[in-house]
Amino acid sequence: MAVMGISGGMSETCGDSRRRRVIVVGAGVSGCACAAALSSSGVSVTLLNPALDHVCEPSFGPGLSDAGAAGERVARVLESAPEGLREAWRAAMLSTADGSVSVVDRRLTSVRTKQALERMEGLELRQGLVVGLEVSGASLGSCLQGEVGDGDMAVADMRSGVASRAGGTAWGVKVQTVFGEEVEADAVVVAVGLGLGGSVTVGDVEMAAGQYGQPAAEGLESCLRALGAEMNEASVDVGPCVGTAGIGLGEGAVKRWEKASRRRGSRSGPGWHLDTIEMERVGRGDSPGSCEGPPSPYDEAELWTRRALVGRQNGDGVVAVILPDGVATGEVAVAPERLGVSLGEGLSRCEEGDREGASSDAETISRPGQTVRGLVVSNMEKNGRLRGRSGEPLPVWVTGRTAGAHDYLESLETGLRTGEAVARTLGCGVPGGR
Amino acid sequence: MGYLVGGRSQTYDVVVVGGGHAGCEAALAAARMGSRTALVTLHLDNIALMPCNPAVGGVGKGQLTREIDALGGEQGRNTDRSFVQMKMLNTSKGPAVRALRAQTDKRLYEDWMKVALSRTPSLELVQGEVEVVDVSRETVTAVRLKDGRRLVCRAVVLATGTFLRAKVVVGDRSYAAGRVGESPALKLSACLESLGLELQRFQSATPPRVDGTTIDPERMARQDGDVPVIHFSHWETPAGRHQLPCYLTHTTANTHEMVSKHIHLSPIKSGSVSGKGPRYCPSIDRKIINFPERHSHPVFVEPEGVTTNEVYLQGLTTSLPVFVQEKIIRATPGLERARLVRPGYAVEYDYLPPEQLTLGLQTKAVSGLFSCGQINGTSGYEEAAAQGLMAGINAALYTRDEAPFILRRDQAYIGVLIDDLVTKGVDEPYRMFTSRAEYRLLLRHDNASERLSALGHSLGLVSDKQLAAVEDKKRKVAEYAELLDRVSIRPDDAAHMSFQALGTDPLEEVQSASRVLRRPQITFSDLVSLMEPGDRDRFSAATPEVIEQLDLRARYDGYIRRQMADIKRHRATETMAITAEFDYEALVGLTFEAKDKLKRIRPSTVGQASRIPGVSPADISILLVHLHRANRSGTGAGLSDVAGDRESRTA
Repeated sequence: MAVMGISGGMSETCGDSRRRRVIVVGAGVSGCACAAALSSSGVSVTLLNPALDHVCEPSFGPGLSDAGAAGERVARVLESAPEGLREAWRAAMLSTADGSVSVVDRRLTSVRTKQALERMEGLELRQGLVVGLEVSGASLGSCLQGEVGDGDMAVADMRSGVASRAGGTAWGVKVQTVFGEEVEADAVVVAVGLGLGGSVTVGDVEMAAGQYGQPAAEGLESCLRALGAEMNEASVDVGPCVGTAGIGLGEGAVKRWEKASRRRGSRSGPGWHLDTIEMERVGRGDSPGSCEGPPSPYDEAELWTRRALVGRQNGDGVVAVILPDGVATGEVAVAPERLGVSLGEGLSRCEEGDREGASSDAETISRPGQTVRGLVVSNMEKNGRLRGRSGEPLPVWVTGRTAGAHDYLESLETGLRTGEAVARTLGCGVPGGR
Repeated sequence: MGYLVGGRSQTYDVVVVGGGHAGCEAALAAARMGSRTALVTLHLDNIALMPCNPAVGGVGKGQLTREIDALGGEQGRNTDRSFVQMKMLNTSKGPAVRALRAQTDKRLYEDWMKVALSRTPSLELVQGEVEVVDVSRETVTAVRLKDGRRLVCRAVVLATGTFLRAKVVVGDRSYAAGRVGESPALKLSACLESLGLELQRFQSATPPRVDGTTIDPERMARQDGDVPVIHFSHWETPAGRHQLPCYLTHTTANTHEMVSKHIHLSPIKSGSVSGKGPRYCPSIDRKIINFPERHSHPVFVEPEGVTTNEVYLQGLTTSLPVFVQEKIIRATPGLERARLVRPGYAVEYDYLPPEQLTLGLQTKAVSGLFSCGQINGTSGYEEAAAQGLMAGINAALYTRDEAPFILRRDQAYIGVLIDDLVTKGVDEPYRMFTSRAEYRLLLRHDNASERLSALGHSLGLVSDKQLAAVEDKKRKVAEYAELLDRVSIRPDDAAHMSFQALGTDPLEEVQSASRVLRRPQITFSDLVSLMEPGDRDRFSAATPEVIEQLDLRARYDGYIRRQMADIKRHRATETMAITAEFDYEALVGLTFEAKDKLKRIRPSTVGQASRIPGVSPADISILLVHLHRANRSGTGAGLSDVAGDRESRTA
């Protein structure tokens, strides 16, 4: 049997003589935050993601928060994050002076966060699509898919939420990947975003996926249900991205959007106008590899678009946000929540307007808007812990969007808090933000 | 409900399907030639991903990358922007097999390529899955995306890599994916088949990645990059930079035992992979099955980038179950404590047997439909990018109703690659080697721009300034070469001492400098020191690139002349054109097999016909007699004027 997760370094312990291990399923925003918090509490972590080239890649657009006053919240949440994670996010972040709009370079967030996680003590990244989850002694049959390998799994029995394993080692959970690998640990945190029963709808077409382009977390849903999890459907609308021939929100693009907005204004009434707002980089400007590696596009100041557009309507406040999507891309993201149903129409008109003029740099939808649906666990405890069918606490937590978070900041925050809660439950220290 | 611009068609000249190494070159070339181009990819965050080796170049492949650069493509430049180690291979061997190889930072490689794409005017990036190619009267009219969008276009370039009907496999487990963790393209295959194209299955695989902090460099041989660095690109000289080391270790009897013990679990043995795999990049499973007498194979441990600890284990490709992978790794010196980060896996996918293509990479069945890269049955980023560049160029030319751009086998490795593919087909993933090129002494790494940049310029891909630099170097080399013929070395006492010190026979008479340079013991700088002070000064301004050319010319002149004479001798038949409509049925005396193959491949020249497997020299004689007779009678039956256009372009 392929059991991994017993790493060499057993020096640091918390509570008793054995270092605790937690599996985090999903390396999105919340999974990475959770793993970082666990690591800084002295817990060993195995962080699993189907594709390691997409670790901590904010996949629902560059805007950090829906809820306004993002700047203040960002500062507060990041202040409580372990240093590596905090620096990774800050390096990839742009914000207005008043903090009303904050965006991240999605790509740089991913590269920097992965780098930070790799450097954290006892934290192991591993590529794997999790399809099964088993809790020792819980009132369910295994939902693993048949075992491969040449070893044998010790029989474990539940004691106060943490199983003990023959040979003196206590294990509580086991997860299985699509390739038949099995990982055991004291506890598991499910942070698969909207991947449980997930689907992505683009136009009239629905496809099974946890997020666009990636497989859904099939198998996990039935395992969690068998453990007693109850779920509701949730969804998020992701706005389209528009290609701008490499200039992001340069002068030309801003003029085009303004023209489109004037046209729209004439229909929507005089209260509608578009503001250009300036943003600054939040963190230090040095690139991940600047000291030892080749120069990256992020080193080139002129590639950073520091502009966002905000559409406002009398009385209604902000109704449209148009944001740069990143340094290495010419795309511009349109945040949908504030736009309402007329977005598609507005965008199409904007395009037509462009087509009247030069066609060479007309804006085309590079990524169509999409609706991502998935199941959200509804009956966990406040800190994300699941209870079994007979009320027993399970070594299973959910966090991030899987636990109902609405945006990246909530995902970050719940990820951190869940990590701390798991560490406490395992008898390990609370991170001091080292 | 997602937001879409509903029901609107967008109009392009060229639509490229796929954003890998082939797709990027195709889209850039078409757009730079002025075509309104869209690159459609399943995921815009996966542009130019390196799913296997984080490296570009190598013997045979490095020549391709240099040629791509000389023609105005992107791969060389992009590699120069993202390399973490650069090495010239085979420096102790002849110039034909010398080649550059770079380790790259794979994330940075993607970033820079994305920057290049997004800054190219008239190129638009579109995320979506192409499900249907619309065809009317056997001619491309549009592509349709899964999300309902329709992109009207005149030409389509397929660059789908390993994504068509793809599944990834480890041991007895598999799931539908184009690469691990990425959705495949499931519908396009059926559309292609409905258009009359035949698809077959191939398989490829990648080794596991391990955590670089858990390897033991002390137990392996460190390999550093070259100082000073030679770059791929002819046009840009990036700033010098820190390089990362690679490490070399070897499999042992223990490693082999782990493989043998579990070989029954390999997808190759169990039959869960049906497609053929790459012979020249075999998995460790295959190496041990095929070479039981060998007790050790090299394993190169290569960094995946500056921002990650992950390292690539070149030589340990496997799709055995993951627990076996861990045993194999840990049985290898230096990797005893290595922690697996990404398991190795195999991918099985549809490819388009390339005999269905013309030399311009257009499908014979559908006008305006081009294909390039791994879908054509090749392996490697360089092979993919080379085809991508050519398919992009030819798609752009097609939309302007211009003749295709074709490189001959004596002009470029790219010519060899495409001629091999479309003439001979593939029965395993095709990889470039210097041995595939009969004129390899002419197709060198160091003369790619001399061979190709004028052509790139005529296509609009190489700027006036760039071409001027190439011409300038050519002129300088010619001037200095002439000077070397005129400068003499005298057999005086000083020269006598020097020759003795260099271990070569003393001069007996006055000789030209170029003749002295033919002696293998004498380097160019030795030669200069042997000259009279006045002559010496005349060479002080020669750049290293110019000196390299003078050196090669002097030493290999005889061989080069012989190959050029060879080309000249064969040129007449090699380039004799055959029309696409040529009636092979009317030829009396052809073998049944030859007739069948010729009808299927429809070679565009007699040279190409002669390389078709199953077509014998006797068959070619019959064909030649017929072509000559038709030519003399003035009917023109069989002789194409397309070849004339091509000649003028490639002259």
